Amino acid sequence: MPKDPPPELSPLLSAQDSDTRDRAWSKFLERYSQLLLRTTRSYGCDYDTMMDRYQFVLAALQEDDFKRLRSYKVHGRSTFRGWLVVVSRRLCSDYDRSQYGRRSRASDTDAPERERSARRKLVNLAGVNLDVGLLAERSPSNPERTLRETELTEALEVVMRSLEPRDQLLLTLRFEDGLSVRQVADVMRYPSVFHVYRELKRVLRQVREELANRGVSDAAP
Amino acid sequence: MIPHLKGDDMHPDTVDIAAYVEGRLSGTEQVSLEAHLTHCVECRDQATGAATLLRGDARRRRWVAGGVAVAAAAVIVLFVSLPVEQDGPVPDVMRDGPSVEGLASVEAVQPDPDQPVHPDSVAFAWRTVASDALYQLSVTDGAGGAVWETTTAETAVHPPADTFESDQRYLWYVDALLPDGNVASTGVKEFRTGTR
Repeated sequence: MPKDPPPELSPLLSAQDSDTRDRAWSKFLERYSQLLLRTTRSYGCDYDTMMDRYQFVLAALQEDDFKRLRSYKVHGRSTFRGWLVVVSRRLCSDYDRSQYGRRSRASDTDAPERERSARRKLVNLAGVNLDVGLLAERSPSNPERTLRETELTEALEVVMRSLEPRDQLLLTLRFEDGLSVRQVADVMRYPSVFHVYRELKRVLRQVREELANRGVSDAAP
Repeated sequence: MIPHLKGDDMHPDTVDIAAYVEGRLSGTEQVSLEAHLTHCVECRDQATGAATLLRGDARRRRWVAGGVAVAAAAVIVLFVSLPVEQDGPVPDVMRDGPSVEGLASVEAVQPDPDQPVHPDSVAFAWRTVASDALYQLSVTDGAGGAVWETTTAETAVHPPADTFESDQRYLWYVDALLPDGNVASTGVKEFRTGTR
């Protein structure tokens, strides 16, 4: 459990004159600039945009006499490095929003289709037999199929809400966000990808059983 | 408001997201934050990106000069190829790899050295070292004879069927070639197969 702030932070926040502050800021950047550069680089785009983003992050960290850095409190819940990565990622998102509008992995208009696609994948993997026709777009000429898909969707949503939060997050990361199992393992701190596969198998089996309990085992009309 | 977490009514505090990706939240706090992440794309994006950066950063800080690591890897290969008594104990230097100070390491996860594994169910897994690392897995029999080898960017592999025989001891190790040319290794590990 960390008891002291990082050695580069205290001199920076306690500097009384501009020369001392400048030297302390240089020391801070010596230690953390690579981490900040990697964070800004992770948002993609060309080199110039990345550097603009990096400069934005640095300026934001210095803003109002290092107000953001002063908000870091030492306790056992996170390290300064971890805190700095999340803060800088949020600043990168702010920068992208100011330049390009809302930044999201899918546009708002795509969100319903993304969710629909995720539900299809989930139901398929849960082993529910799906009538190919159900995968077609909703059509006024197929009211029965539309109704059946609605029932299936509602049943799936009920089942999802009944899962433990960690299991819900597992399915969301894997099927809605499309993360690789390695990425899922990193985010949720599974020891290996095998653990992720094993948990997915368990949760999908649970989803299948719950759907069966709700009369959804064969969605053919 | 998410119970047990600070921050505004909509999103958890930066500290909490950082603590989550570092595995420092209590059980209750973790449950609360995971419940939020399931429904919040923005916070999920932050957590996913932070986890990727921090995992890679942690491995990067264990890197050593390429020359030392390459020499150490060569030593590992040399030890493995020396004849080893079939049923004798594995010397510590082979079991854990040479203790070169500062040698970058790859953490082996599977197979469990203490539990015999069905010869058709053998699988190898190790922890990620860097996002662009390339891994070479080598498996030998107890005498150091080559059994199977593969190169992969993944951190888990299944050997082909019939690779292993029943009731045998095997040795294995993974060498990681890192993006900057450095090398990391699990050191030599061992496992035993059970009966078909």
